Amino acid sequence: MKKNVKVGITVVVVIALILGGLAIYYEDTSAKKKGEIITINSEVALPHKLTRIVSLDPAATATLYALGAYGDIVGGNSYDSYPPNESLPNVTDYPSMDLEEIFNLSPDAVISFDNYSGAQVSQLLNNGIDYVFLSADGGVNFTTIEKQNTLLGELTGTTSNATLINQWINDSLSVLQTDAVNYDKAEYNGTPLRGFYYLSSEGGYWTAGNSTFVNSYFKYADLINIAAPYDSGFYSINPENIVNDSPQVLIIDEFINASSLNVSGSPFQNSPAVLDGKVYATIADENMFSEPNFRDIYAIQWMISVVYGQNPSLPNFPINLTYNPNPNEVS
Amino acid sequence: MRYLWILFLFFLLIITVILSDFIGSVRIPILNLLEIYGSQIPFLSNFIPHGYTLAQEQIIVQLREPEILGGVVIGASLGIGGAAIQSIFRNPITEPYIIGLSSGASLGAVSSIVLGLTIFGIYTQQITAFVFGLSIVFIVYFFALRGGKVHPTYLLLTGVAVSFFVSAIVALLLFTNINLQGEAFFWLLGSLEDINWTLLFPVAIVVLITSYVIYLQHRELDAIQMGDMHARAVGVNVERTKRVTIFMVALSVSAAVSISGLIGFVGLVMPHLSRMLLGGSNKHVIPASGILGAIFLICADDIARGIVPGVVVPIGIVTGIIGVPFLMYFMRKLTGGRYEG
Repeated sequence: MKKNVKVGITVVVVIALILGGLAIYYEDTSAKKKGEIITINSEVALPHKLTRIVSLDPAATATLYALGAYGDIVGGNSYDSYPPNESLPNVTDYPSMDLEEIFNLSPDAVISFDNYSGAQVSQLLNNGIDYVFLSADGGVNFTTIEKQNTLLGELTGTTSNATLINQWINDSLSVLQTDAVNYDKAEYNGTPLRGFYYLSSEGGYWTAGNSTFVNSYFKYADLINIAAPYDSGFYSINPENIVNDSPQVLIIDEFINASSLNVSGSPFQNSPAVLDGKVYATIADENMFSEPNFRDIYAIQWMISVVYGQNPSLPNFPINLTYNPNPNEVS
Repeated sequence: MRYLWILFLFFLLIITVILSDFIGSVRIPILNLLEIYGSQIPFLSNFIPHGYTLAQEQIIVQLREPEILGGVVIGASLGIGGAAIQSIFRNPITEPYIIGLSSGASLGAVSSIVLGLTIFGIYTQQITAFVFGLSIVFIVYFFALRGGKVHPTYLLLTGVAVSFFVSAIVALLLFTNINLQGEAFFWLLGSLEDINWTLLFPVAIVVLITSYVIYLQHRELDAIQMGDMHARAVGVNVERTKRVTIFMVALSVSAAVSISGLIGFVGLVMPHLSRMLLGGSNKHVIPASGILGAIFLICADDIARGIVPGVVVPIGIVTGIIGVPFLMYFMRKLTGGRYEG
């Protein structure tokens, strides 16, 4: 084949590719309705309420169930634990979302707490699917959780239930804080105990620092989170800081081996928490410590009950649910 | 006979592409798949029945097709780049990454992740990977330049040294924000999953043009394989050929890895497999390496998506685990253990 013929073929192929690309780009940017990215700071102005939702966020799945919108969920994720016995198709495809399964379910929106790749999110938006992003990282507190409830209520047409749940959260927080302070006065002369939340031992001593919803558990339980002054968000703390601050209460994830706390070289070995046996594993439902939603109230209740030996009496949950939202009461 | 081999490999590539369109987490009947194919052909689409759902069309057109064609483009880029680089270095264990491409692209991608850069919107990571990959190759080339000439050994050592230096900076960046190690880790292991048409088209055009320019150098590269002195004796402008080829490989592979992350093994091994099948001439080795790279990467992607339900294994892991036994087998089977690169 002559050289100029080869050049000619290449030029034709390149032009075809450019034209094809432009055609697809034009189609993408013109005719089709685009999805929107929705956060708690968005001004929600959807033309209709969402009725086909894919939830990649276990906290959102639980909230939608409590709101009475569980029937609108068409796809779930492998981390969902509440409500139990979920029969939704799993659309997580670790470490990504399974876009094929999601497209196959033809949802109105995908709810997520994780930072999935921009390319995957743009695929959703380009195909007219809204992306609802609910943060679970640093900066999330009960105010954020209430805003997320309100947002999900607005999106699913269950605003009145969202208001009821938010009111219940505020009432419960008030009860928990008052009771914890009273228990502390009676048990420890009102001096807050130093606590530490041991989330994971993978590659360090992972914990919850300042500006996390778990940090706010400590505040409402009248405890001091020794990890808060050193860093924000979920992070791996320097073991020297653990030794120096000598925690009096240890809350450990169910996957942490409690016997490893007492071995030589462990920063917890000589801590009052280990010596006095104040080590508590989150066996009731460890998801209460990883999912920011209304059920976190029960995590604080559990913390207060194990630390002070007394169980605060919470107001009844305002919505009648088939599955008890309080994991402390589930046998 | 060698042209027949290349035609056969091309036919095999088309079959692989079509079969891969059937593989995914959602089962799509063959009739619907054919209808979706037909609907994409201008003018013909009006005569094709539309018995498929919108979701099925989206899955094929928006997800599987760009991913599979991305595999073709990236596999071809790595295979052709590997063949050209091995000829320039006259070294069978070199690949495009050896001139600093991988470490540069890693620096770009990891910087954008750790520093939270958004200057180019959602494609910042891809663009920074491309720019950094290309920049590091230029730095390596200019460090290795002495008196207007680049000695292969000097270029190789400079490439390795600069790569170590840049990798240390990547490690430092990751160290400063340990929470983002997971995200960066998955980029470093490579994936075709995030490729869409918007990403694929510019990369495909770059790879097509650069591959063609590399192919046009096949005679010069054959001569350089025999040694720089021999190449000059037969009238080859050695420095110009090296410069053009390295620049083309850098452009092509930087563009490819910018959308896929680092995918090892293809650029190293596919040129060897091509030489085993078709002999040592770059006239055949370059196109065969491209086609074999494409076939191999598509198959690896199929395995990555299908081996564990609910998990997409990073493709860099699959290319290594599947590829090495594959190469060992061919080395023994095709050459009786006498292959010398």
